[in-house]
Amino acid sequence: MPGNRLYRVSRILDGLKRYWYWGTIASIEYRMNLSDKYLVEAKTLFEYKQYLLATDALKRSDSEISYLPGLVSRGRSGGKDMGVFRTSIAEEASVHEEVLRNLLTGVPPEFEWAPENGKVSVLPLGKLLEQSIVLRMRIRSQVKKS
Amino acid sequence: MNVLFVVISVILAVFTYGFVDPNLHLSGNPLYAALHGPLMELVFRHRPAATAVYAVCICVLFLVYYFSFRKTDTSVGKHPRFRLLFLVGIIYVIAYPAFSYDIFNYVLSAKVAFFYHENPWIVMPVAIPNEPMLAFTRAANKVTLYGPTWVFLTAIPWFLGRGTVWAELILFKSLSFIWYLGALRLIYRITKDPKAVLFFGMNPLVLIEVLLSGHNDIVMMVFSLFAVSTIASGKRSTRYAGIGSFVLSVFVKGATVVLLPLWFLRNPTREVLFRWAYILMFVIFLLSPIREEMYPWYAVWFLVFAAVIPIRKGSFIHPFSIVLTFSLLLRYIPYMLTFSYGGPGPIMRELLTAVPVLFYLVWYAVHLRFRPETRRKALA
Repeated sequence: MPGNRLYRVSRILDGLKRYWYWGTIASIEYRMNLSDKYLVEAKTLFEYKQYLLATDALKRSDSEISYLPGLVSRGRSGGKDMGVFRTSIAEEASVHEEVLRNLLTGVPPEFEWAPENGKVSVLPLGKLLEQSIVLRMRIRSQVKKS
Repeated sequence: MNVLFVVISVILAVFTYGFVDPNLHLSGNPLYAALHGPLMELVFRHRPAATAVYAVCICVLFLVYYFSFRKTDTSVGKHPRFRLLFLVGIIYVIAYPAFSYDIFNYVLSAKVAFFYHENPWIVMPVAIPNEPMLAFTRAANKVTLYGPTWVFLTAIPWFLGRGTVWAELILFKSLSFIWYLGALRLIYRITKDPKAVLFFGMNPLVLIEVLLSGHNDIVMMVFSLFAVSTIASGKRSTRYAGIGSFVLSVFVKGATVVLLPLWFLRNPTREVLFRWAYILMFVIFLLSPIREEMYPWYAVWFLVFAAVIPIRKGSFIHPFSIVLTFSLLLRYIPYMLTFSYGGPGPIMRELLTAVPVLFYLVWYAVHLRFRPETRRKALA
């Protein structure tokens, strides 16, 4: 989690692992794991009201899960039966949606983030969470169709 | 003797086609179909007879091996039995890998890496459920257990075989054959002794596990044998080449990592190095049941070092290794009889391995006890 001495190291390792998880199936596993990991990070940070860091983690989770439909299509055009992966991606997206809906009920729609030596910014928490939910719904329908 | 060795090898090679997996269609050739049916009938429906065929072949091969080994003179240079080994090697390469499914895993891992372009250390073959080879491959629910040295080497036979199962099997076994010939050449270069080459090259376990079954242990051991042979070299470039070879060896299968302490011995002679290498690889071989099972092909690990230890009268290592390799090949008998890994199979396997070895150890102990001059020579 942010604040831990090894957090930066773990983020760097997450980035480097991309080169180890080559191929569509390995990439699906990699992206799914990271999407889960960053969503858990976001959830924890939301609960601790660390909204700036939480939204950053949420965006990273959204980014990772966005890769999945393309990877499934690529796997299918590579002659691989992607049935099992379509099912597990759809299930993952469904679980993510549930977590995000629960978060939506517990956070304010907007939050003014005022750092000590910086500009005040407004974090549209509700909008961001809704966008994340919609993204996962779209991914679920995309993988079911492919 | 040579003719008998070739004849029995041909019989064994033909016999192996009775073990072709029922889900594997190797060829539509009418001659193959004509032979295959009766052979499958023998192996699957007349198991005691099939087991007897196997046992007789093994016994005859070992007898011919033993007598050939005793008769070999030590003149340097080309020896007729080297040509015999080449011919017999080709016979075993063409045989079906009846006693182990590992070669199918090698082919499938290569396909995962070079056809499907997936990381074979992360993606198991079963993750691609429409892969046709899954029908006749066992243990496909594992990622590759081998290192990058082996995986990258398998690119050669994979691309040459163009995905045809029969071609892939022959090419993968040919890869093992090339490394087998490399091992023989290296053993001769180190020892200058044709007997040492025959000790290793003509051993039926080596022929069956390396050439017939196509196991990759030979690749690991050629690298490690070269590596150990360079430790005592006076030339720095040779020693560095040896270290590189050792790293390549470890990245085949990992077992040879136990040889690392040899690089820290002070001023060892070559014989001391090879003896220690034999002991270390033998210990790892004995510990292999902790991970899974004592597979017969693991004997290649210590046998290659036994070959480069001088063969002297009264030696213990060489006859012991021959007896052990014979008893290891008997481990296939319970499965051939029952087609089951459970039941009395495990205990039968251990008895078939232990009894000949124990007999030899008792004989050797008695021989030592009552022949003081033999005891003095053995301990020298």
